[in-house]
Amino acid sequence: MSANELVVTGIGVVSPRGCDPAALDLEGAVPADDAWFDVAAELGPRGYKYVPPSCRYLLAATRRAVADAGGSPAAVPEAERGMAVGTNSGIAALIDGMDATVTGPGAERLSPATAPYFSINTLAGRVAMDHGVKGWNLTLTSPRTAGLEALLAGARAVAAGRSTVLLAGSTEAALPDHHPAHAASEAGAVVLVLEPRGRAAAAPYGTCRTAVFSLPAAEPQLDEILIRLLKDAPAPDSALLVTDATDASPLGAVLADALRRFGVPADTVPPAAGTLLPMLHLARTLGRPGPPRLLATTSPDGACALTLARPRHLPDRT
Amino acid sequence: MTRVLITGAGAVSGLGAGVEAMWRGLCAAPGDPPRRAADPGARMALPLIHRAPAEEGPGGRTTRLALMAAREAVADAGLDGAHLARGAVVMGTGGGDADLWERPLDPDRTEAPAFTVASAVAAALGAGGGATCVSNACSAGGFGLAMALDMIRAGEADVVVAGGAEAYSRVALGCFNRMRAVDPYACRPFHRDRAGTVFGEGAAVLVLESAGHARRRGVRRHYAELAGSGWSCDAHHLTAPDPEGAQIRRAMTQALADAGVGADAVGCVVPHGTGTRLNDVVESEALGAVFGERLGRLPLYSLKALIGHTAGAAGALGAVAAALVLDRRTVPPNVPLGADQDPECPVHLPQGGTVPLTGRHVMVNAFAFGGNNVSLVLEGRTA
Repeated sequence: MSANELVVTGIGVVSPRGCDPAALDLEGAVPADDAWFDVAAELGPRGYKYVPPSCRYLLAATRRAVADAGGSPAAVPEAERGMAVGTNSGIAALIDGMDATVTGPGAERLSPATAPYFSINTLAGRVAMDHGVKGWNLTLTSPRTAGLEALLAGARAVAAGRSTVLLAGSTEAALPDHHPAHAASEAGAVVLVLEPRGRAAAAPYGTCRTAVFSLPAAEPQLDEILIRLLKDAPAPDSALLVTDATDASPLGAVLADALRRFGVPADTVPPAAGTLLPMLHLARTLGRPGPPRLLATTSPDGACALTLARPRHLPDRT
Repeated sequence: MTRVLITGAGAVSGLGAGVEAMWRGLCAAPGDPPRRAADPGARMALPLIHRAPAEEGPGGRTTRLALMAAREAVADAGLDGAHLARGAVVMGTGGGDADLWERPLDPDRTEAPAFTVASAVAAALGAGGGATCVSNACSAGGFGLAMALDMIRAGEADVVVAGGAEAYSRVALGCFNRMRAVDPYACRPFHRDRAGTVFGEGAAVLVLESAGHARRRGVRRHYAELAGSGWSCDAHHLTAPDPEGAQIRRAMTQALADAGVGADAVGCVVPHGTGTRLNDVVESEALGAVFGERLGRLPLYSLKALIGHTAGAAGALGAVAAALVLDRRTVPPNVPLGADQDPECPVHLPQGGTVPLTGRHVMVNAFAFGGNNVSLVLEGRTA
């Protein structure tokens, strides 16, 4: 354990599955419409009318995470604050609506207030404006994996000295109604505050460590990847794979086999359309004292992300 | 600190397919005007674009451009399957495969995820070390390279195939029209009458490799070293730069510090320079703050005047241009501005012919909506 190791000091969640990280109901599907979100209660009565849903969720989750961390990001200079956000379908419905306007009445009918959000990085850019995140800001967008990837990219940037504090998370909003994956849409956001153990004032929730790889090319190196990920860490009790059913997805089966070789039993849950579900599981895992756990997700295009979550210990284990 | 070499390069843009086509285009500086997009759905006043020659095939247009550049870069580097199996891919793209996720005008077309550019490249190359798609808008390609640099330094990979790619997006162009950010004539960075930018399509990919790995596999030649990067975020406005330019100055100075060199070591800058009124002034002032009295004689190579603003590919295409400048010790001529250069942008834009490069370093800037800034410093070979 080093003073430079990043620990999670704040968790913010806004989701139709709940907002208490420890009590998230992650079973089954939930509606991804916007009705569950009270923008005035989360963000205030004014200033967010033209902000798209995924950005509102990200703003709200960030506020919650920063408050949960005792406001620690505000205690470092703005240039020492960094942010990494994963999103894949965060602006899909917005783009669809804009395209209907451009191909219909024409671009002159686009809302100038909404137009900047055609660029997916403005979701995190808007958060940066609210929280003075001037160190750096990354938006990652690979399907399914980008949320967990944000943890890796963010931790790497901190290790490289690009910031002291890290905000890392995921946000998604419902896909257009006519999209074939609409029923699997996600809505909501998760944001974690991570900072070096040596400067953390708040009692940390735990730590997380992430690896990414692509299958099938990485299959011969899977054991090596797992050894590196689990190095100097207590063995995880279990793993959760957010992946297509193993009979339909060889990626999930390959990963589950590899974990079995390491003595880690893996459960599988079906993925949703975006990058959020693995991050909700991570938030819940860290939100409760418990044993280390692996969380993984795979994408049909071969991308995989694997996070070792180490919550604070159970009282009877300390 | 681990040295990171550029051992392969690939590019496609309005100048054609391939790095050599790009270099010929840079030296000829044809300055071809943009064309109207061949898109019946583009109901906007200025549907202007510099098209790139994307290969036909399955998948979205951005992915096809990325694959062209990636395959060229990997072949150029002489990487084989064993090297690639442990290699990672990082691709920057602002909008991904926009043609696959914008509203289909063809009712038979199926919808698909937009941001599979990196994973498609990884799958095509057999790269197993992860596929990261970074979408920091017009700085995405620069961030892709900078992330790859950090990955190699951190020991996560010895080889990273990294860059950026962008193709025509009807919605992006429509939004730029609505924001009055499209120049009706051309992309004219630092021109007194510039009125916005003009998009271009393109992709650029570099093979980045630790010096040790390159040595072990017998690499004899590299273009340059990716010596440093600096990152920052304006946190000021969704679309406009902070007029003070403090964060883009910080990105540049941090990149120099990361490379371990002073500003006086830089012999050329490939600026972000988009043709947008405020951006070019802010960047000129920031360059002046970093390079001081040298600003008026430090050669800038204004790439977007030639190929348009390639958005998520722009930083990577700028890095390919910089690598070629270092490799050939030559700064290509800028598209002529003559007396039309904006006096508020007192930068040095050599015109009319190539000039020899002095110094061993070239800086590349890439800035974006959302205030995302990245600067890269490339270092030339010693011999």
